[in-house]
Amino acid sequence: MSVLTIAGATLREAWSRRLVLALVILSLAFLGLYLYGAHLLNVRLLERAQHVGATGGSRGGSLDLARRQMELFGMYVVDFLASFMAIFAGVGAIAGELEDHSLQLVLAKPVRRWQVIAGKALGSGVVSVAYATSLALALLGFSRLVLGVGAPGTLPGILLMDLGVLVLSGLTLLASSVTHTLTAGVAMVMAYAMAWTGGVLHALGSLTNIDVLAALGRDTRFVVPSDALWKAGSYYLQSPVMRAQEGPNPLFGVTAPSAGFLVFAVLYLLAAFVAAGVVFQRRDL
Amino acid sequence: MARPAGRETPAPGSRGSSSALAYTRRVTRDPRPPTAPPPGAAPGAGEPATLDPAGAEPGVSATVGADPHALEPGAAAGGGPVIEARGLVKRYGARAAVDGLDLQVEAGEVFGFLGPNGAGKTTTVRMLLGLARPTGGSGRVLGKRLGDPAARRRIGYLPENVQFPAWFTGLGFLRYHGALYGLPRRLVAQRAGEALERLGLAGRGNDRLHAYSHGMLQRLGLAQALLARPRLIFLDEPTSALDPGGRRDVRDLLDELRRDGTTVFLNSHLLSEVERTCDRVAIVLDGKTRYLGPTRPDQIAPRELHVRLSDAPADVDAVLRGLARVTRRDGGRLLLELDGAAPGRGPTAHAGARRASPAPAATGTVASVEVAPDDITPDDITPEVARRLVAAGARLHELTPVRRELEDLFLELTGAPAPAGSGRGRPAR
Repeated sequence: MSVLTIAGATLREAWSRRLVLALVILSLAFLGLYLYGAHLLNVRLLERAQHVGATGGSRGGSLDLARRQMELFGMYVVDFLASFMAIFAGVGAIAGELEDHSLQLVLAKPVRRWQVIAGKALGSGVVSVAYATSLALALLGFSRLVLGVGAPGTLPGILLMDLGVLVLSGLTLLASSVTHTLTAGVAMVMAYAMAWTGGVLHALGSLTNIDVLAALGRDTRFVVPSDALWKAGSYYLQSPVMRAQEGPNPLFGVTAPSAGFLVFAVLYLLAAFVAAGVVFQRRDL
Repeated sequence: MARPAGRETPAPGSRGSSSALAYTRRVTRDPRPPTAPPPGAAPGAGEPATLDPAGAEPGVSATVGADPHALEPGAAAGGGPVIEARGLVKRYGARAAVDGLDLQVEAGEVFGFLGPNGAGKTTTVRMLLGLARPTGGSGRVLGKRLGDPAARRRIGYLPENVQFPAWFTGLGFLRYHGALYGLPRRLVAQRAGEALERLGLAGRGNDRLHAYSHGMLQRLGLAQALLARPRLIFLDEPTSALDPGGRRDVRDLLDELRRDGTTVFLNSHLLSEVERTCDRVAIVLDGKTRYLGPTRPDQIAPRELHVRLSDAPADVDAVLRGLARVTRRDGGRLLLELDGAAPGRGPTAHAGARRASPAPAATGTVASVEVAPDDITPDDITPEVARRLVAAGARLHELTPVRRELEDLFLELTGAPAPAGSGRGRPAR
């Protein structure tokens, strides 16, 4: 019961602090910019196609590829925004409330510490996933209207992106349980950057056939799997033709994720929550 | 703080069923013969006890109505100390924030916990609440091990310097904390409304906390601490943000809690407040309890005696050796400092710690005497001083213990200089 109470308070806080409102307004601004850019791209490319006498709607054609890349790039930004939202919304969940002593007030009640961690994880997880999912669906829906294209594997794509966001949310909760708000925030931005760098190194290694570089980048996913999970999700958002035409690149995945890696990612997420609970249990407040 | 219209004052020893936040209880007296109350216990605390399944305190047989989280029988309500700490230690690296602290707080006491900054007060409270893990020693709160959630069901806590989430409304904040206590929603709503009214915040419950003043937030903090009808409430500087009227209201609240039998653990720097509200006090320094005893001057052991003599012996110090020594003489008056009556220790503990220096001839009359006997308790010193002086041929006109106030005791223990113009110690009235 305490878990739900704390999770509910986390959700109410997001709402009452106008985090949701700010997210909606800024996300609409992002969507507006993206869709206007997509519209311009679509119109200009159609004009060029008509100018040279080509048909614009041929599936697998260069115009279609450009439209889908625009859509995929939009999804990349969605993942970026959702990742940082998960970090910044969760970084003060424990550390911030310890610093202002409001969490001591909670823990003087008949509440166990793991319940606090579980409640915070549930609350911040719901906020992060809800944001990522709704923004992704909005972007894909509007893209279909403006560009006339749709992602083939919407469900697995969004689910894997959500898993990556949840991993960052769990890691943020762990960092917030260990150290101060500012330190936790810096650490999480660094963690995100490390995962992203790993993804780039993997792509570069694959492009240049430098196996050790590719392996280094690939193995970074075992340290922070968020970027690899985005790549896994983006794989399903592309058609086979699109993946074949793109080849290895630093932003999107072109190989299907292994079942072993997906199991690892889920266990990683659970381990982050458990570690947060263990650390918090032992911490003097 | 607004008082509910028509509120009655419960009789001493009753469970305060008439206060706005009072329990819904059926109170019946136990027919067993009364037992002696514990030291410093509130009136009624030592009355016969019957524990019903809801876990009432000594003095009454009580049934808690609509309260699903009353303590089980034996959970501190069985007559044992509400707080018990033995050799409590908390180390941070090589530094000991709390260093072998002993403490015992009885049911129904309003207990003051004093000490200078860095003495270990907050760390002690955190250990008692289970927020910090002791490095050594042991303790029990409400009969449970430290940090036991079952005990925390009946503990209220208001820390100092807490920042309340500004996005909550007053009522929402209380509902949240009531839910954390596991109280049913309807009961929480009822108690939250009552608490706001009791703390003078009626009509402000729907305002967000960012619109509350510091004093209003402190009142709200008190309200949340009272939500679960606590058996024990920890208050850390509860009046620091309040104006004089607010402080008086908190004093009244503490009086109500005392009448209700609630044990209050008050951490405050305001010695006058502690002196006025607390039954007993502990003064801690460097993580150790340096004084544990009564709060009021008439109950604190005297350290000095005013003596007025004639026909005084030539060497008063020799006559009073082992008891006291002359520290000041003014004509026929002596001020005697009692050996071993240093604050916070029994006379035996300080025996010989302060030996008498060569005393001036007692040609006059009044002295102040310092006392430090090995085998004489403070209560014995005054008559023993009189006996020896008379036996030495002196005519004793006056012998008055100099009472010390809590501030004197605190400053002596902490080594802080006395404020300019403050006369440490006052003749007993």
